[in-house]
Amino acid sequence: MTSPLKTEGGGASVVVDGDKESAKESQTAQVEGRSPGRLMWIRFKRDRTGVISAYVVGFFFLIGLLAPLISKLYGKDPYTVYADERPELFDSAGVPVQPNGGISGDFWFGLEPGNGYDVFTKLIYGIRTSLMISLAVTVAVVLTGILLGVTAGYLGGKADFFIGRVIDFLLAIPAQLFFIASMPVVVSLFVSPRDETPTYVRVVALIAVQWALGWMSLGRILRGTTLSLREREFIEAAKVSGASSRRIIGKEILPNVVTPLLVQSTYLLPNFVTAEAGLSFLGVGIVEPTPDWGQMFSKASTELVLQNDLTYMFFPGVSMIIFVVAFNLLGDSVRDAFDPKSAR
Amino acid sequence: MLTGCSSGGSKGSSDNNKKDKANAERQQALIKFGDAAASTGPAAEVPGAKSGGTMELLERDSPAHLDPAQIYTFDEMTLTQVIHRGLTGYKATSNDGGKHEVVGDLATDSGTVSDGGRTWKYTLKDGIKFQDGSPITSKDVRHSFERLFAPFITKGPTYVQQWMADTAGTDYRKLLPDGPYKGKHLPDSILETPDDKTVIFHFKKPVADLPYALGMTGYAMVEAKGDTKEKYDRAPAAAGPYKIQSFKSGKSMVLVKNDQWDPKTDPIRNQYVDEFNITFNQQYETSTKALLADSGADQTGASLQNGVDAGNLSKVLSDPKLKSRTVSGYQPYVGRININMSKPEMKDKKVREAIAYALPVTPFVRAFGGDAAMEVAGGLISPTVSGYDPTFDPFGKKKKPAGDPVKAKKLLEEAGKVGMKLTFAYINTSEGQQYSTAMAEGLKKAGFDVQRQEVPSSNWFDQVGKINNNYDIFHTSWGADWPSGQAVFPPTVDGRLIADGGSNYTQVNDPHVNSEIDRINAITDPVKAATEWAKLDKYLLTEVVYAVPTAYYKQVAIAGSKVGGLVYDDVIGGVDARRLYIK
Amino acid sequence: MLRFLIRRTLGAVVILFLLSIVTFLLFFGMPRDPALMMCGKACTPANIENIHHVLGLDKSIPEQYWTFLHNIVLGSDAFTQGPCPAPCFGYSYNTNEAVWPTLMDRLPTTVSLTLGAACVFLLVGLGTGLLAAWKRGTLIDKTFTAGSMVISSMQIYFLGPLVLAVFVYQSHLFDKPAYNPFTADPVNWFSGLIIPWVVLSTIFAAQYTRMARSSMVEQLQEEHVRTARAKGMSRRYVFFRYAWRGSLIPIVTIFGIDLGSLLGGAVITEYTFGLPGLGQLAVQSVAFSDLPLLLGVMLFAATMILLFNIIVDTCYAFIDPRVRLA
Repeated sequence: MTSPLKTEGGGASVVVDGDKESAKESQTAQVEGRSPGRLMWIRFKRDRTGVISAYVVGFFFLIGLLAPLISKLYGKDPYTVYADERPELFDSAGVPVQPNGGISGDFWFGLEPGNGYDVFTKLIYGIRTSLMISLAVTVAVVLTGILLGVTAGYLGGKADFFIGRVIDFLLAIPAQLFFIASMPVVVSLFVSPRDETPTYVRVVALIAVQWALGWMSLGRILRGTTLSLREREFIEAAKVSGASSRRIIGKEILPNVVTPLLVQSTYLLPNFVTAEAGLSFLGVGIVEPTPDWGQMFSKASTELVLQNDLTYMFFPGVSMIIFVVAFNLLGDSVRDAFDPKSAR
Repeated sequence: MLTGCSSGGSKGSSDNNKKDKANAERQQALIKFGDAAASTGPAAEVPGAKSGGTMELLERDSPAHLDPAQIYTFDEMTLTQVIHRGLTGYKATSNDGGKHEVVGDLATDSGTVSDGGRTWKYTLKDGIKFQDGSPITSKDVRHSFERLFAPFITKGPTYVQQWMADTAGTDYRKLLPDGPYKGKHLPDSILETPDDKTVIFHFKKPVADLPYALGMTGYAMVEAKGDTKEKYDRAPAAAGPYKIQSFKSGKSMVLVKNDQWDPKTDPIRNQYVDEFNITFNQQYETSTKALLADSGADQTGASLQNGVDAGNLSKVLSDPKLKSRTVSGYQPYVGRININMSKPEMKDKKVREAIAYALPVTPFVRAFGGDAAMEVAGGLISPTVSGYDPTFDPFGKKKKPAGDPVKAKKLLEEAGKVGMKLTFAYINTSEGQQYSTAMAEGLKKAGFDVQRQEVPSSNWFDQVGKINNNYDIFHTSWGADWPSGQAVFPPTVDGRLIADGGSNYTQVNDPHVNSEIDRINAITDPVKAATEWAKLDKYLLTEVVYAVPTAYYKQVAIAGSKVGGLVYDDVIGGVDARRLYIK
Repeated sequence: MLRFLIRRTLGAVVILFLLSIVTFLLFFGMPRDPALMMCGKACTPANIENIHHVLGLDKSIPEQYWTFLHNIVLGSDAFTQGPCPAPCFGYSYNTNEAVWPTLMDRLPTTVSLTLGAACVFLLVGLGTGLLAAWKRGTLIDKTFTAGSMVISSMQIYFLGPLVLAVFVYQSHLFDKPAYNPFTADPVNWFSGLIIPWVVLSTIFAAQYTRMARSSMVEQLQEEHVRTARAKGMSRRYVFFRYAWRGSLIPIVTIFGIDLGSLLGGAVITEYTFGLPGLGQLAVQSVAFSDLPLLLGVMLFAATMILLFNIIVDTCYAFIDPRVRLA
């Protein structure tokens, strides 16, 4: 339910503060011989919350990356139907007969009601799927944001007006309704209805629809930053000295928008994770048997789980809360590291 | 069952089976065609019944159609039992909903047959009227049958149309492409209405089952002068004891007494309560919870189609007080995995047997709530249909419901097809996703390369009903339109009926099966016919191997403490609204 | 002021117009033919053609689109199901009900859900946020900050089922959420929506706590506030007289946006609790390739978003005297 605009509200002031600051910093850097990046790094390392959050976030990415290896060591995979393999562990409706969702030495996080998938491997593979998708959306959004935001801000005039109207239009689209409506269409673009829909098609479709409505806030922020940079002396100087637009954008503007870019990206990624999970929850994202974080929530909201197995829903639920909290704290720390003044 | 602690096992239970079997046995008593005496109203009083009061009905499914010609689903049929009337109907001859007789409803008897089953004559009763007071005449009967051919009538049964046109599939529409609306009518050589009271059907081939078929709501009467075509679906004219006072699709319906209905003309229906107040969009657990709580208006509450939800089942069945408020029975559906016999890859019997042995049926039972809602099936004749044999278990599913991958693998090796591609279409519902993934895993163990293909639920039957579909296997269920093998096998296995949109989903076309169908169809002794259908079932599953039965559908219904006359009727597959009263 | 409203309204109409085109094209990309579904059992190609004709699907896309626009503005009598006064979105392919009355029928559910929750989360969120800012650095502040951080990271699709499982399925303390019209029975209306309200407003309130706190803290560092303090005004006076007004601006923006998008259909909440609102209608309309219904829901939802954007911008003028509308 989090509107992507929210990050914009919080971020707008950061941007303006941010570039004033970076200019000051570059002066300090000459005196002390430290680059702004290094300064930021030093400040970040001093922030204990930030460092811990970074470790937690890193841990999640590591789990996602190493999911196949972990499940190999653990000796199970998320596709085995334990309700048929080990029927003694389930009743006829597929609910684990052991208390607490069938948690045991064999099944660390228990078994999923229904087909009896192993929850532990399903969760780590689910994290892998969700993070992969969200990371791809973030990259796509950042690239689009840079391209359109910086273009609009630097060129101004008609381009700015046009991109601005496109942003206005896209912001008026009810995002969730649009996702639901467009997922089947986008999937059908990739695959004829006769063939099996491979998982990657759903993944690509999810990335595409979230990207289409995800880049506007970042685009606006970058436009604003670029707009204010354009009027600054060092850009004027570069222009006067005859540098090409390409060079100015590449050498002068881009390095100066890295700060808001990085801060915004750390706020955007968890939003994309929860939005992707929401779509799978509604049944238009990733579907069984492909493990996915959101799809586990969808399972958790079925009668079967609600009636019989409360334990199950805590694994996707708690892990996602930890992930989102850690990522948001990390975002705050990154922002503070860039801009000590805004520490709250 | 196990006694889990905090949350061990689902709270469903399974010891309702005995009663269900008894229910099923009662069904095996065969249905007769009643004579004029049996067809004379009024209907027998329900013991202890009283008149008056408002009954609350809590239903999940709002009827998509109210036009009788569009009605073919059980939720629509059970509800409209008290609204629409046809030429014949099913009269309960016992008070448990088990024994039935086909009698004349609007007609004076279940039909007079001549010409070796080719001609059926019906005479309309006196005093039968639509809710506006106009009498029901043979003109209305003619109109009701002719409009079945109109292009906008698409959802109802097609048996009678096909018999009239003597064709299979959808070709019957050519008989009267526009229905009666553009001045054309069925010739007397097919449907004859010599006077206001007489209706004569002429068929080219013998039709032994016409009285059964005419008892379906799909062949109930539509008022000729009040026919508003598409709009009739929202506001049909009632001929039965209740009429529609208001209807909000997906929300509510109020049925009030139809004062034009004369009980003396109706041998089937009673009219005890003053009003049915129906609320739709009530999920099973919502209606169960309300009826369990048994407070206020819910004391006089019931549900025609909602069963007790899986979560409350054990609670209800283990408490004698609650259990006394329930009725239970099998629904007429049998689930099966269809093997697409038209695919070259499926021509090898060993491959089909490998599928049959490998397939786990447990995923299907699980997906629908366990063995309180689904019973692992043996053959394709359900416990509600005469000829059912509880010992018949062609693929050992009752012993090994999770499949026999070892045996299957051996068969597949013998066929030399290990690793063959198997395209498995599934309906894209949460249940469909759940059981298809687990079934696919089971098939993979036997050496199949399973390719699952999702089909949107909205056009599932269109996709799997196409002759040239790409699917090797897919799951459907078949509910007999009447409790005889005749309503099970001819529609589903007759190779001469293979057509787009037909119901022979497996496209099985076996000369022996086809000739057996013709032979058994001609048998007039129902007991003999039933044993012959059972033999055909065995032949089909052991020799042809065209499908794998998965499960028989079951249901337990509950009502409020002040509801009387609660009966689970096996013919209509739900609680019988015609007998309900308030204590 | 008037000119501002006219300008914004015109802009909104243009956006709605574009959106209707996008939705329309989206539908033509959908892999399903509604006629196939309506055609039913005994379906012949001639039948399908006939349905296409009845639905107008045999005409060219621009022609169909033109009919659609025409009907919204002027209504139509051309439907076989009955007359369709403006704003006419046609009849649903699936239920044969007129779309506009269906939307109006579902709207009270969504409005009850949204407004009920909004009252709670705005008050609670602002209250706790301002309190945390006032008590900045104390234990209260830290508790609220940490708590709101965790709660706002929860999702409705986790908290909703969790609350359902604990309070409805396991303990039977509450009834399963349902919508009962306020006019029919206010008590039932309230008891049926209490769980959705609590869940929705808990998550939103936590977000508003965070926003209110940071917005207030920022305000307290502003020049004019600091100047006021330096002039010797009391902290309490500055806090309640100057700072809180300024801190409202970003919150009003977000609140307007949230309200607009929720009123267009709180999809996940309605889906989680099975409430028959606009969001659920949208999910259904996609599942059944129901173009008239889909177009109706999309345009309605977008109208809500745009309407609230305009309202928010108008509100600025009242909260912040520096803003002039032109």
